Amino acid sequence: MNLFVFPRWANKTRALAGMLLGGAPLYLTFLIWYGASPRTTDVGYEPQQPVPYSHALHAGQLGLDCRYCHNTVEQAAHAAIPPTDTCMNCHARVHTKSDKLALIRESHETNEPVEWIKVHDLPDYVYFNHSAHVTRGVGCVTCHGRVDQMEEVYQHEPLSMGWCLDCHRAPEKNLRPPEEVTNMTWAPPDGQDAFEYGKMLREKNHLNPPTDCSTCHR
Amino acid sequence: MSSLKKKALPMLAGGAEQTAASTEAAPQHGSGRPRFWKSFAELENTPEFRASLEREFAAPPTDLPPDAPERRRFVQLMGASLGLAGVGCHWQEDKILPLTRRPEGTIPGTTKRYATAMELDGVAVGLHATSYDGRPIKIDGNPLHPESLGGTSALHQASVLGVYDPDRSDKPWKRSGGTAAASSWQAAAEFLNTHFGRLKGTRGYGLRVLSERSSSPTLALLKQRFLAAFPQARWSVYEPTSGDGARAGSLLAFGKAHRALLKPEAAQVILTLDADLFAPDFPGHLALARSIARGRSPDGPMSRIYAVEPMYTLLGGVADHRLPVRAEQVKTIAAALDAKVSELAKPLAELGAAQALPKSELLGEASVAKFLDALAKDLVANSGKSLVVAGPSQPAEVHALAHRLNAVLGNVGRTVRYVEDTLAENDSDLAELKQLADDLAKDRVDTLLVLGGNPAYTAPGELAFDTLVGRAKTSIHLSLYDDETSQRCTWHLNAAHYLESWGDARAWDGTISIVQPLIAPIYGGRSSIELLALLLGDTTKALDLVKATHQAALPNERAFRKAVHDGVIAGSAFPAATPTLQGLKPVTLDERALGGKKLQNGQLEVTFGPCLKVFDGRFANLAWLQELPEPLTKLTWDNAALIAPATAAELGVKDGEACTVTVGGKTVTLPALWVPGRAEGSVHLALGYGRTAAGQVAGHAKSEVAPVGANAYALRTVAGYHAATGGSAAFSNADLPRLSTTNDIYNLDKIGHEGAEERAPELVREATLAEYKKDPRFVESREEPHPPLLSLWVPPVSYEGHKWGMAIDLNKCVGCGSCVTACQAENNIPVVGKKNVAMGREMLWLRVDRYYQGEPENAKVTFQPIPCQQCENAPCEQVCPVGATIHSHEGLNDMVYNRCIGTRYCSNNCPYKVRRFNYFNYNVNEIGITPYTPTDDPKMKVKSMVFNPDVTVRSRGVMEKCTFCVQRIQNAKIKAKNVKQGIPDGTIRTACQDSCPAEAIVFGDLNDSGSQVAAAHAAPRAYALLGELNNHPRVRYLGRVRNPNPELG
Amino acid sequence: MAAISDVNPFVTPPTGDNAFARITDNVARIAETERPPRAWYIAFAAALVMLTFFLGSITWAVWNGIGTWGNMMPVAWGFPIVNFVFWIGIGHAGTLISAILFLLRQSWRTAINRFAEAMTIFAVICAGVFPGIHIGRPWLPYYMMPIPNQMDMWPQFRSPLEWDIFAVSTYATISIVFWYMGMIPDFATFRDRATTFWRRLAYGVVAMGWRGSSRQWHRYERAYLLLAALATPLVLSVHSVVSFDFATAQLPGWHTTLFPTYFVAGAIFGGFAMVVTLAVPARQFFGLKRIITIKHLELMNKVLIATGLMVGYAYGMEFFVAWYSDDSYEGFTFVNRAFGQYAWAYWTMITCNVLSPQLHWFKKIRTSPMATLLIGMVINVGMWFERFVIICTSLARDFLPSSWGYFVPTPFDYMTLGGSFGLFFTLFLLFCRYLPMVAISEVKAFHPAAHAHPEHH
Repeated sequence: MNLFVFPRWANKTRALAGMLLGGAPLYLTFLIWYGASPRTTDVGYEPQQPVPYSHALHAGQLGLDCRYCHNTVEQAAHAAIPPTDTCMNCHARVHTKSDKLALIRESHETNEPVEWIKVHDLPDYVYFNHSAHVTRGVGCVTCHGRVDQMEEVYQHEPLSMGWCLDCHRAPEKNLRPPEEVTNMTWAPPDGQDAFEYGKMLREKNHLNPPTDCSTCHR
Repeated sequence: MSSLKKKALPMLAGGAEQTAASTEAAPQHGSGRPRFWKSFAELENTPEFRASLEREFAAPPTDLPPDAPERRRFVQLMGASLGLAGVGCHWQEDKILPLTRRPEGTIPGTTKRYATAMELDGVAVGLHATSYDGRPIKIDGNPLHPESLGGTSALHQASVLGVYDPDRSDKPWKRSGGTAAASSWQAAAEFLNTHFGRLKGTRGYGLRVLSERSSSPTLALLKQRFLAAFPQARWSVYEPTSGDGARAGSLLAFGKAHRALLKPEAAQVILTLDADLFAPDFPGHLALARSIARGRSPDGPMSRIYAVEPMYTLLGGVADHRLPVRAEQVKTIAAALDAKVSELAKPLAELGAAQALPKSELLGEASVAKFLDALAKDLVANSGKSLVVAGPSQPAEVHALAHRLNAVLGNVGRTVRYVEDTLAENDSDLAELKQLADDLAKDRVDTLLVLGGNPAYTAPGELAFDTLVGRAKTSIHLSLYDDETSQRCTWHLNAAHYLESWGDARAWDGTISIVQPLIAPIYGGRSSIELLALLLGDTTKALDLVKATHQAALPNERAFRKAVHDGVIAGSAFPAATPTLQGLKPVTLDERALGGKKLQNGQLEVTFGPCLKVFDGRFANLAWLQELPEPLTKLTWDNAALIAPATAAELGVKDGEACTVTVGGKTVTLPALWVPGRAEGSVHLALGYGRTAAGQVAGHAKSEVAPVGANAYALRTVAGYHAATGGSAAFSNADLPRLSTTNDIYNLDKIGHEGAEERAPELVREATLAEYKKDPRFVESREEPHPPLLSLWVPPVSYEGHKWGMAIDLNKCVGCGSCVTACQAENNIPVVGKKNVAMGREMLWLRVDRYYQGEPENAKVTFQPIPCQQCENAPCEQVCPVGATIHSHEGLNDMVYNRCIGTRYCSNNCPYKVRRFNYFNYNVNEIGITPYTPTDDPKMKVKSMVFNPDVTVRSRGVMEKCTFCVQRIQNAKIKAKNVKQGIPDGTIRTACQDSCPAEAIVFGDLNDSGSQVAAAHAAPRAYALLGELNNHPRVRYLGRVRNPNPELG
Repeated sequence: MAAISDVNPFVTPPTGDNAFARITDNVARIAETERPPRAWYIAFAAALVMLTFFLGSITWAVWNGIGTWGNMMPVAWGFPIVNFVFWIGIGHAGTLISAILFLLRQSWRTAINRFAEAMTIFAVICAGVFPGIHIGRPWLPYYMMPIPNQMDMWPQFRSPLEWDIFAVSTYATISIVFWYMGMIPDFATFRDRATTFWRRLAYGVVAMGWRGSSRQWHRYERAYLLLAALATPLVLSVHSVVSFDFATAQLPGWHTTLFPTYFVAGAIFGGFAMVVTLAVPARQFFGLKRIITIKHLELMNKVLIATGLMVGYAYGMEFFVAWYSDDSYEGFTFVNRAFGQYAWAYWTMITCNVLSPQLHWFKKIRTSPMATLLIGMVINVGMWFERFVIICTSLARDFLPSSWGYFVPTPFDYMTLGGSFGLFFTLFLLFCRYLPMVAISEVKAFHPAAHAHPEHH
């Protein structure tokens, strides 16, 4: 009997073969589901900004309200990156010589915009509207994380379609009184359960976020 | 480019709507089905086209498929597709560039509307331009403006594309001895200063100015100053569409130039003499469309319209009775009518003697006689409630007769008013042009200054103006494009677009609008106002010049701002005039005019007219317009010799094949198109085609881009300006690209024709007024018999909250196609080009179907706009394997481009075939017919500025379709909810609805019982297209009602 | 083999002694010979050229967009889907022969089932290409797979196209397993006859250590029977499901309950036609005349008559139903099919599918290999046109006359169609060259020598 009639020891390989056959599709599925998910690819994206602006300092220690700079967030789709003038409101007097602010001063003189790098970057076919969320009581922290603790802003949530749908299907856990949206440390009053409190708010403000395709894709 | 106008002001709310038909019920009656048919060839079923059908495969537009993107585009293309696919692309870093100084009240990423105005042929139409972050992206009508009342034409819609046209000239050019040298405005200014300084010395001796017709008061003042500075100079005005006839006619009738202001709404009987009240060259066409629509409600007073015209016009489509006669015979008809009417009406003596009844073979024909008698009776019976209108292309006598008829019928002051035409610079543009040509030929012209226009191309071929321009020692052309004229001038100066410059202009009734710029001149062009100021050494800014002009009316900044904001200066219209009619001499009628219907011994009449799409050719390079199907012929990317089948048969001219048209030894070869309702012995050629220096879209000889269509100006003569006689047409075996039409791509064989004819009455449901009064629910009796409608899938949604729906009134739609282009502008719809259209791949989300009915000699026509019907029980949704088209809770078929993989199953299963597929990436395209090209060429980048950022730009391989402008719905809903308010009816308007001059389209919430759309859906005339398929479409059509004269039956 | 024990009269007994050796040799030498007949080389070269065209045209379409084909509106499905349905249809005879005839104890099948199965698999491969390339974005077909993803999106199971995915892939899997299992004993034979190391290695691996022990034979028979039982319903289900693509749409001419049966019958018809088309040259060039006999051809031709009549009946019934339904759109569609712009295609179909098989009523014709070959080819053409007629005529003129059109294929359409045959024949010729074309063991099982009992003499 020659080698190619499979000696007895070959039987041992059967289990292995079976595992390969069965395992490959499963592995592939897992790879696409996990590997291609923004949870893997996007969370933690932290580009180096041209100007070392520290949210931790301004929003955290100094306690500026988000809306001081992102002032269109309640009326428009975009939260609006502030114009150079907004920076100069203070920095015309404060740290007027700081090298960190060189770009800002230059932009102020030349009227050329500062080229900030987009951190939370949704695909072009997704139409997210800040005002629609902020005015209904979804806090900044829900999607952006503790910006008030970030030196350099990074992406905290996957911002994937599934992630959006989770909240659109059950918004309760992320609802708060609209006037509290910019409060990074907000918690339901006197230790109420966040879900129950959200439920109350949802009924009070008649919130039923749509899950139609055209809600976000147009 | 992105600089915001500091002067910019917020807009006013949209215009008011009128509600559709009432809702009382009535018993059903069966009713006779009229014959419908689709394209000419199918009805005739001629041997030629039967032969073409016997070919197994009719010849494709080309052997090879239409040009696909080049290899070097591949990567970008895949990139784009991957982007749409949602696969990563994160690591291509995006930048955010905030303004350094954000003007008060501007919110980035939102739109604002600003009032402005667009002037065409000396008549301004007030507009609202939508601006996104400082760039105009959409045009709508200004409800406060008498010309618009909120409606727009396709031309206005497409004009925004012109701002970003990469073919626009971006710098002055200096030419001498056939060599062109790029120059700059600085250099040009220096030259102009010295040159005109010298001319001042000679008091402008040998200086000639040729300008477009303009109603701008500011320009008029500058013109005065200019002529004062150069007394020897001569200023001429020329418009290739110029209706000298109207002006001359009013001179003839009243001794002084007057303008007629029509009010068809108040008329019971309307007669048009070769007048298309809805064509862009007819003053006030938008307001007239609305007025006529309002005067034709089957439930209210319904006017009856008679049209006497050589070829089918948009108005002819609305008319209840049509009499096709050659243009030259209209005069005969008018004279005969005057005779008959005067006989019946016994007018006062001071109105002068009536015309004698002409001895004409035409009038001898029974049908014509019958028509005229009935018409005359009808007119007289409705004295004071009738209206007679003559068309701009008709000679003075016809206009005079129209004025007289209105006077005789006592319509003056009721259905027609007059104002004095103080802007009439001259008696005849043509005489002026001829004079100028003469001077040029005799070398009397030292300096020729051409302000706008394109005379080298638009002047009658007879004058050979293109060669004459070069005879001037110095010739200066101010123009948007470096076009045919510019290339023959020593200086080309790049002009500013109307959306780029301050100015002012008057409506037909004299109302003044301030023209407000939406964006700084992208290519640094200048307006005529700025150029004249420069020539006069006046350094005042255009804005200040305009302010100065209206100092009296608008004394302070507040008043001025209000005027700019409203888009009109209140009370600036011409004062009403009551001219006295002078007796008319008997009109002169040559033997052709007196001749019969038939072709006169082989002597063709050749009529010329502006195209409904590219007008006189100035809009030829706007791809949206080239791709827009011409309302009646459904032609795209071409013009053709429109000819009556009988005549064509006589001359051996074949349908859709090349023919050579000859006038006075000059010839043009272009495809012939047999059209119903065309007068015999007469051929029509649309002007504005065959451009050689328009651009990458319409033709550019230098870069070897073949012209679109054939140039009809070549055949034009001064004598035969609107209608040349003694022409001829013959079959030519020239090999021309096949005509690309959309409504009927291929000839129908007998079976197809019969099938179409059988089902058409069910698709477009019609009745006469009498039938309608008898049975208001006549639409039901037209319905296809069907079994009880049960569905496999239970309709999933209960539609609480909103329930969007649309209603389209076939009785109001005039088929002008403005909605189609509006949709294209709003929804970033790509242009696919001639070849793809010929293959049936046009992308237009909204199409206007056209059905003919009756005998070809004088067929009736009906239009039916077809958007996505947004079925509640949608066939498309059930077959998509990836769920890329899904039903929303408000009843829309959401189309998700980024989910679509392009199986095209949805389109197969759509009974309305409203779905469109991106067979190529039509947005990536070298020849630049589409607005967007992702290259680093800045000019190409400019093109993408026209896009509406609220709508996804589709890539290759995905399906798309009408969405009911879902982006507008969503934005309105979010806004409303932000401030915790409801959405009142009329706040959300679709783009098509916005643009419609006739208010034929109504959109709204069906759950809101008070909404117009709910009322329309409940109206007795309302029916669902193909309702028997159990699709529950959300669009309802209101059946068409005609109002024929019982005597003509 | 106790299960199937009757004597098969159709296998001509080889003359002389040691018949088994002769059969083995007869089949095996095809794969072992140094130089296959020149005809093989010519055919293979031709097939390769066509294959190149296929790949070229596909690359072009993927590169530029599928607008390179003639597809337009309203005819959004053109050649690619026609080809898909055509090939799927072809891919029926194989499993039918090997599974259904097996269960029906039609032992004559043994001579042809092997390459019929091969044909099935190659046809399904050809078919499988088209759904992938015909979509607008060929890089995204995985959207149709039920894979968990960040979008929380699943395929839409109401769509017949989704059903196709499962139907076709299941069918392909089972067919391949069935085919491969059947070859194992023959692989072992090849292995044992192998003279070179590499042949022994290759055949040894695929033979999976087959020794021919009675225990192995026992297991083998069981498994074979089970697979046959498993494959049988698939034969019927696949094309039924494919027909749903049309039957569940509401397009006149598509929306018919007749379709599943009609499609299956058509598929078997087309499949057998392809079998004879291949069998005739195969037996000619590879000297299998004594294994694939005239009798086999005749039997298959009889099947062609039967299925041909079924298909003809379906054509007629479509018209009857259209008339009987009193639906004006349905009625128009069929009148238009037979006498409208596509009449030429319709009558080609009728001639090829309904008329040509009738010739087989004459024994002279159905026993002539040449005639068999020709008619087989004609029927294949006809079956392609059947799909063309169904898809294009219905789409070209549906409800609104304003959107009617006329489909015009581009050169790339023809290249893709022709090219798919290139793929098919390339695979088939390789099969002929290197694999056991006839099921040696099974043929032997029915050889008289296998039943040399006294009472049979």
